[in-house]
Amino acid sequence: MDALALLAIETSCDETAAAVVTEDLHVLSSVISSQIELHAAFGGVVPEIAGRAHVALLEPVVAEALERANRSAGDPRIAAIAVTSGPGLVGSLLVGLSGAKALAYAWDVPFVGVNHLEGHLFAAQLESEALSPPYVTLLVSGGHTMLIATLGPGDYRLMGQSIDDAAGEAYDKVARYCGLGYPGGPAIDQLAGEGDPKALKLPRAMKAEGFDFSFSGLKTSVIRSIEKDPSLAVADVAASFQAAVVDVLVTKAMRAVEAIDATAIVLGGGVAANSSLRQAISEAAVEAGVRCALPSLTMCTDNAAMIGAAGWYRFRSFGSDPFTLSANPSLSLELEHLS
Amino acid sequence: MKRSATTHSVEETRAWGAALATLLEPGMTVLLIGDLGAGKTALTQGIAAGLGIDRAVTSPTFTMVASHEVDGRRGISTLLHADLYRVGSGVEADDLALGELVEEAAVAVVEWGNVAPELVGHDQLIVTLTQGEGDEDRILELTDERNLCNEKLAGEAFTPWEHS
Repeated sequence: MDALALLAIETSCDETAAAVVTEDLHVLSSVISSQIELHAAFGGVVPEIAGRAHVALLEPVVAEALERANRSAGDPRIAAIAVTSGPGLVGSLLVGLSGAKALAYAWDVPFVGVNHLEGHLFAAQLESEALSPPYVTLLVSGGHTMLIATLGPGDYRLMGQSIDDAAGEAYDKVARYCGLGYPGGPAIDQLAGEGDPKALKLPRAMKAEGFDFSFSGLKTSVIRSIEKDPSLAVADVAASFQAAVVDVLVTKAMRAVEAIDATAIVLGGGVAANSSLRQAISEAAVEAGVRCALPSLTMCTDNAAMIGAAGWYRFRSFGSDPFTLSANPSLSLELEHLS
Repeated sequence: MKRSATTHSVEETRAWGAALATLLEPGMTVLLIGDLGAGKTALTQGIAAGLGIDRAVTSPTFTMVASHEVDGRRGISTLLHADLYRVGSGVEADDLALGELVEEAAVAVVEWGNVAPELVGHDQLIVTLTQGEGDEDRILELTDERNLCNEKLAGEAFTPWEHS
């Protein structure tokens, strides 16, 4: 109960999140705005996109995280405050940053800026035993499709990324086009199980070589196929689309594993919840003889616990950041002095 | 003034984008209107290349606004690439403060600009993208309602575009 903990705040995109994480990476609490009943307090509408929503949500989310962790405001067992400083939506980032700075100032504790992507890299370590570098993380979400090599503590290489649409974005757009609603990933995943993955001949862009991805052409190809033959079964479309996405993701991830002689492949991001991707990457890992780390969905999607884990690493390695640290919407993993 | 053209590949769509970039002046906004897969992001990649941006310009659907630094040619310092696909209403788009983001030295390209055209100021060009006959064909139509670019559209700098 007396363990030193770090309060972490994440507001880089849609979710307002706060967590309390101990130094040995035990998550005392992790609260995400969509998990708590705020509708009554905010008139029934919680706008998804605006920094304004973060302004309204930040204080109750932080209060909830502290309460669940049995910590009070200004608690001496809070060692520091960590917050996402980028990448993300600038307006949203600024809300979390300003809030974290205000709390750090008021409580007189150190303040630490965290790269959102580094947070995702730490997410798997909150649920499984420590991974030994080098390992590869396939980060797939609505905003990112990246292959990141972790070569040592804080030593990252962006091996490849999408040159157009993120994988999750392609999922959402195809789902919306098929009338499956938003978010589209779970709907397509479920339908795909009932369809024929070979019903449509779809492109696997850039599959043959390299580590970059392209999903824009696949999305367009699916839409053209439906336009030409409106009688296509939606389940067949979903199965064929999903097979194409997973095929490319797994092929490139395992190519990356081989290229750096990695010990493990790690999934992260919302698309990591996809059942077909989880199965395919697990099988590929077994075949390649490497470990496969599949974090739970709550740890794959945006959350503050992972920011807390990365925050501890940064705090221990580099100390606190100055209050002049500002939001960087396009913060990169490699350019920072992380190693 | 209006111009239209038909492209036959993603590469050609990018090339038209690069030609379009020659029209842009600081403070201007280009609204892109077209369905999924019509080539809006590809066109924006072409505009970015035409402005001399060499880093990758990807779909900003998730982050909604991406900002790319320009080397300052023709007084343009920033390309803002916005995407209103996820925006359900003008009220929400208002929170993005697009009109305020387009500062004196910036130009903006707004995908799904038809969602909230009133939010992006007056100095705007509109490009509609529609599917052509072949799978890869796209019909691009540029509308310059306020005649902001008459001289350039009539001049040689913009010869790739056919008059219509």
